[in-house]
Amino acid sequence: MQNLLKFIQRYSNFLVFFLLEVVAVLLIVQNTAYPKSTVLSTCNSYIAWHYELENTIVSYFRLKEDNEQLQQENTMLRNQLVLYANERERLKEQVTYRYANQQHHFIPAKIIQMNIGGMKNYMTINKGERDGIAEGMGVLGPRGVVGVVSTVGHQFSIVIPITTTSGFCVSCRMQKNSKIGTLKWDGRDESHAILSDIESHVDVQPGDIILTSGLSETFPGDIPVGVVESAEIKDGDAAWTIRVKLYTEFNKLSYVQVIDNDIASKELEQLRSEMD
Amino acid sequence: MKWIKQVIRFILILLLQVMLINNLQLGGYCHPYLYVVCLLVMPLTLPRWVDLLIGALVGLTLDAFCNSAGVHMAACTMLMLIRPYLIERLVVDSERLTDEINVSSIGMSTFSIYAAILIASHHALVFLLTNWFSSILFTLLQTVVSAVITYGLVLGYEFIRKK
Repeated sequence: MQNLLKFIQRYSNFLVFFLLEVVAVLLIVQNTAYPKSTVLSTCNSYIAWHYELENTIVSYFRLKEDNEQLQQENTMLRNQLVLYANERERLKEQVTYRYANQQHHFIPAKIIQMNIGGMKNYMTINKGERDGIAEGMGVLGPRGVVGVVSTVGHQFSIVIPITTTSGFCVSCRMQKNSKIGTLKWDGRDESHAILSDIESHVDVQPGDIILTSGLSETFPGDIPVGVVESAEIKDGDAAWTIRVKLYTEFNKLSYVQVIDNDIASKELEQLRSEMD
Repeated sequence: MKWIKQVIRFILILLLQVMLINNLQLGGYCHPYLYVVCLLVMPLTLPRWVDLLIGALVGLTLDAFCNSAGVHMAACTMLMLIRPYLIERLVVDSERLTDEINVSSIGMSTFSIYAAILIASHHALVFLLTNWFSSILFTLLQTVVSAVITYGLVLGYEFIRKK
């Protein structure tokens, strides 16, 4: 016993060191894919507050660019609206159908901090639990898909973009032939990602447009993702490896929309429970 | 009084780090961590286990800002462990060092070696843990580029402080 006490006294510094390192490694392993803790991350209100302050100053310098982006998006949406309005009139004459519930609605948010350019990328947005944000919700930018909400704090949340190495992927389809594939980042640069699972007999050309498939609950269908830049079939593969240029320019992003898929996921849950 | 000064400096440098330096992301290689200067210059008068705890806390604060739970904590704790041994080796009469460790107290050449070793080991561990021991070449490049820039910033800080 006395020897043990002596030992502890003698090596107390190393024991403290060892203990602290073990705690650190545990923390790393626990948060390895994306930050899970809401206290020890940027969605902690006290920490996000600093970034928000910085963002209010910096955002003035980007007003012009932001405005242009939003105007572009507005024009695009207006054009779509006209298209859909016409179609709706036409359909109304042909069939009497019950209006489906609106499956998704959008929560606007502002990016207050962004970490892009490394292996693990993430951004912090100024909306959290009290605004109705929940884990796993999809995030859209003015040009297309951005990412998914990973960690939710009270007033702030962390979003992991498509361009992250933590295993997040998006189900996509090709616009011209509706073939379904999976989009994932290869860790190289934040403007490109890799679309896989499209069989080698399908015709793929540079310039083909990639949209979300709508198969997952995260993103509604037909949201622009990117355009095919190059495609190759690796030796022995039965599927294309397609390099996709993403529409979203992460370093120019300021405003995003979080997709609240509450209704859709509730209906799905109900269906699943009925099936059981 | 001495310690209040340390805390205020830490807060100021932390703000500089997270609001300004963290935004300079040049191609993913350049992540200088100037905040280590707060640990480098800390007086050596506290018991070593307190030093280690301070290191862990400083690291954990940075982790919260960088969403990297544990990475900076591990690196800072290690830095605080090797610091006293390094000083013992580099400085002949290290017992008389009761105040801050900086260029004026241990000399320019000793300080530059001291800072270089600690910054290099801290950065190496940070990037090894961030990339979780994968892509060694990328990690090495990150370490070298970032450590050199941090080293420049630390010497720059010392230069401004002396004036």
